[in-house]
Amino acid sequence: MKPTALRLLATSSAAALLLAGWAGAATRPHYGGTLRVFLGAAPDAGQAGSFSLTGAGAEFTAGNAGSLASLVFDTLVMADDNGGLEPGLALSWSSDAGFRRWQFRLRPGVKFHSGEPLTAAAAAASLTAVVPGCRASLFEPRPLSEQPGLLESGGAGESVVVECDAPHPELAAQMASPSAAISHRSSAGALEGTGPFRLSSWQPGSRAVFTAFEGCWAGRPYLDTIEITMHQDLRDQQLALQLGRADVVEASPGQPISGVRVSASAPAKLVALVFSENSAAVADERVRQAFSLAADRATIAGILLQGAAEPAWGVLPNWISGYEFLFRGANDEARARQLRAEARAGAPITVAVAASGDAQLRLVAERIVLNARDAGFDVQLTADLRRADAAITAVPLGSADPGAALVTAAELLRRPRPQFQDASLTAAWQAERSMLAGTWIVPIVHAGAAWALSPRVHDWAARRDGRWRLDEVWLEDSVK
Amino acid sequence: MSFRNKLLVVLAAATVLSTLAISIAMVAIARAGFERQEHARSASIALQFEREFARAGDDVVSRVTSVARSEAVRRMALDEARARTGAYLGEAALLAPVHRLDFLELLSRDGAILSSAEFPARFGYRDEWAPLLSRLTASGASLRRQNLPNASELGIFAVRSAAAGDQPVYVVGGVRLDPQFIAGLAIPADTQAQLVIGPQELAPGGTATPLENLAVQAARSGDDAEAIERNRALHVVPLKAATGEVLAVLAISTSRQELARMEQHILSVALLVGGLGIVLSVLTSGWIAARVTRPVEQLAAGAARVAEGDLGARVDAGSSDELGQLARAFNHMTAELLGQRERLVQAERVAAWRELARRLAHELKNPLFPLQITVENMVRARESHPGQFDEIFRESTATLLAELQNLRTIVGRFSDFSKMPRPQLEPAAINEIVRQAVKTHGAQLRAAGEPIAVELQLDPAQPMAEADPALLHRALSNLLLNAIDAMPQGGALRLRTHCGESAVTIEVSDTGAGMTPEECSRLFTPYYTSKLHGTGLGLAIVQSVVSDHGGSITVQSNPGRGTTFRIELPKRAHPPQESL
Repeated sequence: MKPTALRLLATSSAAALLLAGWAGAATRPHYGGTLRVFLGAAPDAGQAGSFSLTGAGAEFTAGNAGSLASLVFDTLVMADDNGGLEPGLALSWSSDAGFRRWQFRLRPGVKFHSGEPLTAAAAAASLTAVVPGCRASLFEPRPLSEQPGLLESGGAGESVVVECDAPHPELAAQMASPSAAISHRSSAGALEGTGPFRLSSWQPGSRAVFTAFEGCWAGRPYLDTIEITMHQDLRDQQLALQLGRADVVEASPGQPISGVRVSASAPAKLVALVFSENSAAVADERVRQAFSLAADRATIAGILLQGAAEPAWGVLPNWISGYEFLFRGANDEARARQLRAEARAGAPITVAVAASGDAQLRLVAERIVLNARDAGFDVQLTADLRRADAAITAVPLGSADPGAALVTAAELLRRPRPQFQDASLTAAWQAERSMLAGTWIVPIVHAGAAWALSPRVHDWAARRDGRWRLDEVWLEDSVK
Repeated sequence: MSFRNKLLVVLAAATVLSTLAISIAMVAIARAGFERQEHARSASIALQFEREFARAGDDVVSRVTSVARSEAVRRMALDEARARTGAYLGEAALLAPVHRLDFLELLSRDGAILSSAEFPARFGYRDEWAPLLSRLTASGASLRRQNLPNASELGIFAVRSAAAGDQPVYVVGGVRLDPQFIAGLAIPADTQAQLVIGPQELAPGGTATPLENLAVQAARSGDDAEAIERNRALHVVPLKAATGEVLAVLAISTSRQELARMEQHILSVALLVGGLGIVLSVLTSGWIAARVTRPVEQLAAGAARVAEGDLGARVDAGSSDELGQLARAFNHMTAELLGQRERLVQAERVAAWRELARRLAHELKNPLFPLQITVENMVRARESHPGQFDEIFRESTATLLAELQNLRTIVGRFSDFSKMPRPQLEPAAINEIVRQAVKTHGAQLRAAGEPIAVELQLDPAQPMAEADPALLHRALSNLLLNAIDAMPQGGALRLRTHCGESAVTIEVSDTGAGMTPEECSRLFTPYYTSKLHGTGLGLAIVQSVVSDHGGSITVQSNPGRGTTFRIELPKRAHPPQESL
């Protein structure tokens, strides 16, 4: 080979390597950048699946859930998209034969945002009162009943024990729900978690900023910052996306935006009409049944929510429970009229929207009111949630596990916690049927979430239940 | 009430009434003028509203037409099948702000809502205007109540259709018609205009304002309505939808304070004029009284004097008008009456003297004839029978003496009548005088041919009167003697006294032959008698006595049924003054 040819080969090879490197840099994850997210509704304390802040620092309410919470907090157990459980802050877990005593072995080396280590004591304190009738404590080895003289395995100080008065076969799945997130109050007094991001700025109702937690046990996230802008209507969100001012906006799965990548979740949010037990106007079950029969679920799911939802007759969607068809019914306005007449319901009934800023939820509420009026009811929408006779509420089920999802739904709907005989689907079905008894809860639709993504967003991997998983996301132009 | 006072009242009333009438007329004219002005104002504002509405309507039509021609709607029309599945649910919400419409609905050909900007949840529901769509597509804007999730709002709406595709898509768009809509109208300072939306929903009655009641009335009738509320005039114009339903009313309220001030001013002027009129009435009535009522009063006074017997009364007849003629006639009348009275007195005197002469002749003739016969007998006896002359002389002398005594008696009676004394009044017990009179003539009553029964009905109240007992006794005696003479066949004599409030009554009744009315009328004429040998002075004396006591005597008689004389004497006598 001639030197010239060699030089040419060398030069070509170098150029090819440079081009390949440049191209590889464009497709490989990179650290840095700010992910800009626009939301329609502003999370508030009254909205299920959100959080609120008090005082100067972050203060998450009990029972908080949803995507924003998952940025900050971790759970002992994590649920996969199929309802299976994966290790989270706990590497392993086990229970006794009666599902009354559960032991979780903590992952070592986990630190809170302030740098304080996650200890069994901190986890036990965080889990106190998460499950009614259950108490969390430090693990103390007990003699094995089947082998007297031997103690339980698991190091003291490394495990948390949850002991319950009644069997809780779903407790492990429950520990994957956002309500069982592990939090800790730092020495500065702020509530902190172990998640990939920490809250650095919060303007109630308008803006939140999360920054990457360098010491996250799962590794630092690629993103440096997440900026969330709230109270933006759908049109503005789309414009912001098109103008490059937003990276992630809400979208309708049934209304794809041309040229924009959309990530949709499974319908993991229950939209339900929940009646107030203190209301005399809806005290008669026939009134509540009439509302259920009058609700035009198909139109709500297919048209008003643009196919981003499915008509719901049960608390859990079929993809979670597999038995939802057992609850299915049909819209029957004539029967609704008959029930209303039998109940002699003449008093005005007020319906509120639980999340005042949620346009879709309000749309559902308006349709429910129209349907009820068609059935002869005197119904009005009200902004006074506390005095309303019923409210349209959206509940993120939070888990693909039926038991955990039911428990979450019950908590968020302020219904009695469901009781499970065992971990079987039959037990879940019985619990759900019991939950729907009395028609205090009228499932309307199961809605999914959809996100329109700008091209610079990579490795967006929303969970099936709609919650974000932003620790893997990276931005294309974040390379410096 | 005197004529002067009547005149004053009439003049004052005429002044006040005329002032009042003029005031009322002025107020009515002012009010009518003001109401014309009110109507003109209301009509002007209504016209302005109509024009503003038409202008806004044209604007709405233009915007809705623009929406109907937009690519999005044309695409919907071409893609109606997908539109019916909600594919364009949010289209109206996107188009409405672009075309500056407050309300926008996109409807299928059958009126089903495909997209609603203000109420997207109504997808699939039939719009209220569904039956009217084809008609409204070709017409202008009209009023409409738009349903919202929790209420309804009034707006100016227009309908247009998108022609693309086989099936039309109707565009129903509008702008809000709120109370601010009329802010741009040129409204006078004392006038207010407001929109009352949904008047049908107002509850008329006790708690409703007059404006609300009027709005309900206009909404129900569909016609303009008017009312007056205190110091404001209300005029309500119904605003109708394309369906004919009254959705709102334009209420125009005009202040009537100016009218009230004008009425107050007129009233003040009327009061002033009325007051001045009353003063002028007093002055005028005084002047008129000087010219009119004084002669009348003089005439009245003269007439009163005539009535009292003063026929010499005269009034001033200076003026030449009717009152002067009346006064002259009055003076002439009194002069005539005076002359007639003098002639009557003279005639009566002549008649009295003649009667007196006749009576004297008659009375004197009766004794004179026997005297003549007796003297002639004596002469004849002296000549023919001298021997018997002495006897005849004695007899004749006795007869002559008797007749001379008779003549003396007759002369004495006339003398007595001429010498009737003035009564000496003193409190007198009338019952006692009556008893004395009856007692005096008791013998005669008993000596009559047939007995006369005397009945005394004397008032137990013992009436007293100022009287001369002797004269009264004499008068009663004459009445008793007349009664006895009237009952030669006997009968009943009744004397009755009665004490009245201011007079005492004495009645003397007999059951004699009675008298005719003619006889009764002449009964008290001196020298008149119905008796064969009466002098005709008895009842004249009675009347003289009673008259001297200030009393009166009347007679009531029927032929064959007796006669009753009734004397009334005042308890306090006012004897007439002695005539000259």
